[in-house]
Amino acid sequence: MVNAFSCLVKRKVTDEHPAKNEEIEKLGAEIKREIDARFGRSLAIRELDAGSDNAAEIEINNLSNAYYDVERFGIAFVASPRHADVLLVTGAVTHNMEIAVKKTYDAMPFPKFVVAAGDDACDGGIYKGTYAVLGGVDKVLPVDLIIPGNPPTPAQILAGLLALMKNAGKTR
Amino acid sequence: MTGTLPHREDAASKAIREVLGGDAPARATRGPGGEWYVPVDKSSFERAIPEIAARKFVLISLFCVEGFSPESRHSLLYVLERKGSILVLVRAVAGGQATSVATIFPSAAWPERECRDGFGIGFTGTSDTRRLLLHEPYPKDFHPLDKAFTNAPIVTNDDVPAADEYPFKAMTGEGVYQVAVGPVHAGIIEPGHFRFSVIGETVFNLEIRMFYTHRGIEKLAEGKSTEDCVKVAEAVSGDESVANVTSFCMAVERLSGITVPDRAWYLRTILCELERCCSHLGDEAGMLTDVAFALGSSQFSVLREEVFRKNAELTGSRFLRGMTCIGGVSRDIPRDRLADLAEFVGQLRKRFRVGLSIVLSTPSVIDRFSTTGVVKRELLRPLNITGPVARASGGRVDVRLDHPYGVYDRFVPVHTPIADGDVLARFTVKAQEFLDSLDLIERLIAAIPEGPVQSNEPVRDGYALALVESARGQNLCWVRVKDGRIDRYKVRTASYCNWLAIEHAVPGNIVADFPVINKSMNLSYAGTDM
Amino acid sequence: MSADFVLYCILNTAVVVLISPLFVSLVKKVKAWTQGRQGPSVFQTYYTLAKLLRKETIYSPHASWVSRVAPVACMAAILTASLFVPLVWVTEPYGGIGNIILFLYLLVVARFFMALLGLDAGSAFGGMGSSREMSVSAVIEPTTIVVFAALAFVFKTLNIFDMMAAAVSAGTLKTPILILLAISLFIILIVETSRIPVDNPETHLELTMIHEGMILEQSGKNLALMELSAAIKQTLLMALLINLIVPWGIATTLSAAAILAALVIFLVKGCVLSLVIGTFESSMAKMRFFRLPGLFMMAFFFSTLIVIIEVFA
Repeated sequence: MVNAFSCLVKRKVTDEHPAKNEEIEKLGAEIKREIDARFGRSLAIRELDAGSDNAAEIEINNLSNAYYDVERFGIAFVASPRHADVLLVTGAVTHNMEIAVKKTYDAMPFPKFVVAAGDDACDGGIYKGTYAVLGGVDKVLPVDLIIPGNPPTPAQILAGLLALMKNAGKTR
Repeated sequence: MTGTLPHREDAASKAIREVLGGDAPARATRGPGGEWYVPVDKSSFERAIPEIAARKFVLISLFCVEGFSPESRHSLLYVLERKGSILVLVRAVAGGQATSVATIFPSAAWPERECRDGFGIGFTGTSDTRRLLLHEPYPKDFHPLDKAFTNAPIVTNDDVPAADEYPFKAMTGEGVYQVAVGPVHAGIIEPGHFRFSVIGETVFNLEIRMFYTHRGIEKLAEGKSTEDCVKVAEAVSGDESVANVTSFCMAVERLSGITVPDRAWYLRTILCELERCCSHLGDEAGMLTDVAFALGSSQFSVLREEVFRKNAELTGSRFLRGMTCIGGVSRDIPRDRLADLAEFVGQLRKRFRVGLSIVLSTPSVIDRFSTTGVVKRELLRPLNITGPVARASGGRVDVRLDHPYGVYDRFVPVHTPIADGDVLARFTVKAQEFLDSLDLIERLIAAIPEGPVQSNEPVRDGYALALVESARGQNLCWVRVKDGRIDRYKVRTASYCNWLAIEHAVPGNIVADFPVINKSMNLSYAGTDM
Repeated sequence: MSADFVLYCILNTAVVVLISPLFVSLVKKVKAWTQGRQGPSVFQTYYTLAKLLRKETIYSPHASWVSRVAPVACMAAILTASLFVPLVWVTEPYGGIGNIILFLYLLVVARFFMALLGLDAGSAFGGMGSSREMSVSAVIEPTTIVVFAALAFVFKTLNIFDMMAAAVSAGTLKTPILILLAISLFIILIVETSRIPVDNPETHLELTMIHEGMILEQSGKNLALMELSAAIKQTLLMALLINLIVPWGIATTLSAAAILAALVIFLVKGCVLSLVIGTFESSMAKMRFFRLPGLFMMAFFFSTLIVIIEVFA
């Protein structure tokens, strides 16, 4: 118990706002559909690796660390696609993963959005035109936002997610 | 025996002389990394393999190359290791059929299936004929690594009949319940399938199925120039980029006879050790998250974020990408940055020790870690288990010590042996290695010489083997360059071998302990699936 | 049924539904602070519930009528149970309402429906969650009965309303008994609300889930109902602990000022208890399933001790 109390009162290392406003604006412009205003305060994300090399997953995991603390923006990573609003897909979609990707998307309730994170997810990256992958996520699912990068840094991913939520304010 | 260097007899050359005998010593050649290549025919191969196994050689890799031997289209290369020496048996494959050695060397089980998938080679004497890399959507008789197939999108099966579904070992009995997990997992993690057979909460069988993120790395590399292939090497596994690109560059440098400047090797080694630190911090944090001790986990995840940011400061990439290249490193790191890094490392060490003491003084954590997921020492050699997993089970394997590369002969890592083999042992081993890596980094920075950081010597044709110690264990790379282009790029990360340890470590434990056992081994799915 | 009682029902239900999400977020916030970060806003659960009500409700193809009925049945049982625990105003109980044994079994009814829900979709994780939940329930039930028996012995009544009235009027009760009682009630609280060390409410490990496993297949308004009923259950057990151990401030008369003051004081006490829960959860790892009876034994032991003391002293 002593440990927990001392950690409670220590200085927090969370960055004030790691995502720069210009980045948010730029990514905001790339959002393809209108976002329901309800997602302005609470966004549940299901992450899906469709064939990535794990670097993007590590960066997405880093979003939950004390520096980026994505929870404070109302963003939560959920365990089940049925609880999710956004499907965050990384990696070029491999043939072995195609069915799993489609099933995960189908299990999500409306309204739902798809975000492709990383160069491979955006257009297939270095695997474009090879035998093992279908290509970018848009070959299988309707993509609403792309976040390029190899891998995208947590700040860039966060900017993309915040842009999604910020867009929510515009519909009302 | 032919070779470019005078040599002392090592275990490999001894085996060639004593086991293979005959004219084998005359036909043996020495590769640029010190490995021995011996062509063998069917009868002497089948006679020699059990003896070689009895001499405690470990089969660290088995792969197929097209157009290597003049006798036949395909050749199988069996890479065997013992006491710091490497023996490569080259078998020309006649009629697309070879004998399986999986009963003698269990670490050959997956590679044989991989050769069947990739090249269509049949292995007689094996019971496991399931496809490995290519799941149901791929058409039958599709062999991507065949030179006849040009890398292009293919048409896949949309409907898979039930009879063609991947068969798992069926377990029946009173109260037996099968739990299928994956490929999509509830957390933020790569895809893989685990089939548990449980009675109540206790697991009595686990079968894994990987290769969901099979991206065709080896085929992708073929035909590329060596510079372009550097990016492919970095893409094999996200958090092992430095290890894989270093092994690739080493192999190309060896086959071309390129000498890498000293300063470049010091910088490369600093990058390798930084990657190891990052990986181990992530493992410690992950193990604690998996026992729901978030307070302890956050101690390490904060440190890991700071290392990532330091990486970006030093090299422009949080994953240290874009630095290591053929001939050295692409950019120098100035002295003031290195001094800054040395100071950072000192701070890191202090704060890591604080976090470690918090964790080790929490009894509930020790209760979860202790005696969970034991990897027995008997598994290490047959399955070629390497890395912290092996060192926590009493194994003494480390490529930096067994086959020193770069400057590791002068900057020798120190290991404290632990033999318990449970999650706590792996946690402790990783903590020790982390601290040891910090020491190495400080010593490297203190001793780094001035000089160029890249050699401009040209790449020549040839082939070579390279082994490196990544954070997870022994990564192997075999490269063949023909007409200035990559003809064959064989890469095998430590995870590929270590995955089978999980099938043995989990039975006997409860289902809820699986995540922490899995995380304690921290195996790369992408590095296996390729 | 007197007009007072009807007013009490409306007031109590409104208070419990409105403040439960606050306590859930507060515990999350405290846990985030111990991890060195800011954590979600204290109103986050409200935003999430509002969003869930606007989402589509999807049913798995294997789901039967159970998946449609169980969330509502669970909520109904919890709301009925909420009438048994006065939060801010203690009045005269009507009929059997307030009986502590009936309260326990209303919670069990809710748990029963949740377990059925977990099984209904036919997924492995739902099944594992349900089976673990029922095992935990079977082991904790006798312990809970003994704890409630201890309460009954200390306050000389089986009715929660009378217990709280006695606690308020008696002033400071015999202190050692209170501490033992508080520990037992706290352990019951941790077990019933599936918190560390029993279960991790924020886990992403499907193989370790107990409570979370049962609601993996829920979406939209069903998910909102399940999350809210879990939050209300937590508030009820917190109220039991707070109002019996530190009862100062509860309104015993029907006056707006007293009830408002009682509400504010209850909020403050609830926040402190949330702080304690969050800190307690953060200070240890999750225990393995077969070790849990050891934890329950502590509650059982202290309660038996109280009963013995009350009977013989």
